[in-house]
Amino acid sequence: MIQEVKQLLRKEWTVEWRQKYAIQGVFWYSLTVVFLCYLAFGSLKPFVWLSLFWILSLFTAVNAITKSFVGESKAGMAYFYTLFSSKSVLAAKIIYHWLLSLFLSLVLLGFYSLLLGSPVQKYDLFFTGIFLGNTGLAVALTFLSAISHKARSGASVMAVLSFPVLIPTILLGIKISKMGMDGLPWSTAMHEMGQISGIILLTGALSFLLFPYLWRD
Amino acid sequence: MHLVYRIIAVVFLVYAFTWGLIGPVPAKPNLEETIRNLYYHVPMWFGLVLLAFCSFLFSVFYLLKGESEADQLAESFALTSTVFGVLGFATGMLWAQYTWGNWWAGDVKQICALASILVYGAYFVLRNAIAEQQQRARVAAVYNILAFFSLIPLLFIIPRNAEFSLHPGGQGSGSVGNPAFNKYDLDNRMRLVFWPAIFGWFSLGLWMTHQYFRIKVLEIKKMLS
Repeated sequence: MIQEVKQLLRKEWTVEWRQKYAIQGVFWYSLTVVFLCYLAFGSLKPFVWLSLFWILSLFTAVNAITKSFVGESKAGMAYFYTLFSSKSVLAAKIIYHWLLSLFLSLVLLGFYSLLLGSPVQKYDLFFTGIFLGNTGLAVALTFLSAISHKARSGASVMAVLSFPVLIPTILLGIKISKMGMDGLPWSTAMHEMGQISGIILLTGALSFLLFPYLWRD
Repeated sequence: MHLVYRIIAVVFLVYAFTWGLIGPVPAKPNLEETIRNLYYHVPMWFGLVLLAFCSFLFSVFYLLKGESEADQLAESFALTSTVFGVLGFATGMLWAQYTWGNWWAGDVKQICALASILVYGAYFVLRNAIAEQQQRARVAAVYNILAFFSLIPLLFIIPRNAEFSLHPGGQGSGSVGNPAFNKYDLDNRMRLVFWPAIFGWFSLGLWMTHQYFRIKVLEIKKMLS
């Protein structure tokens, strides 16, 4: 299983690197959108700064992950399923998207802090919030993109499916990173961290249970 | 079996509508007579959760057994559950207008209720997006299971952890815990209407689901012939 996941991850990376437009596109997308926000807002109050960052982060993640299964042709997918177990395929996709969304949100945060400043007082807790939030986004979005791939109707279904399901994750992510932004001690965030981890584990477990049914064509 | 819930629905709802409106209620400041909305607003949320749970069960059953009736039942239950959600929302807004002074008070439970309606709205969008019947049934069942589990944080976890809620049951409202059961220190006279109302509304939900399911079956028959 681990071997299979490794091979699939290498495949994802090769495909991504071969057609650089996808990752480049998201990169330039985040730069442009941050620049637009800078021009539109100028300077921001801390809480607005944080909320706007999470909204941009959400859209970047949705943009980056939507194409994950859509990029696969039906024949190509059928071929994969003769080679690998469906669990390894899902695991590889989740790990890949997890790393990708973390990377993209760090890039986004870099541009964002450069142009709009940073009111964050306690970076370790702030990054924990971003880390947990993005983990939740990556797990849920990977599974939802598999569902919307089956609907074959592109990005609009993906947005309709994912935004309501992601609300708890986003809210908890904002809450934890806000505590980091305000410089509160770790102990205040424990409760929220437990909850968001619970949601991540639940979504992950459901994905692994249900994914095989999605592919039994 | 069908006769049982039909009788329960008619008898209990006639009772809840008449005795609910003329029966005695405790006089509470601010709530006054609007406390009677308890008989109509709260059963909607019980109905939503129970019907969504039935829908979830039929989706699981469909994935295990692959019978198309299970899929149609899951869809019918999801539809009535959503109708109950919308009605719960509407009765809640009406109540909020009288007691909190605004249709939309930005309360955490209003927000989570809206989010859960959106989750189920997406279920129907997804169904309509897939043309092929078996594919639709399977993908919709998978999403429905995910949707039911996403109700749990929305309806049971986030509202109870909120620092402030206008609803009873939030941490700031003085009565921590289950919002439905401590509600307004529900006195015994009200309990006599409240519980029958819940059973009545839920039975009506079952009835509606069954009717919708029968329409679906007829439509499919017509399509095949």
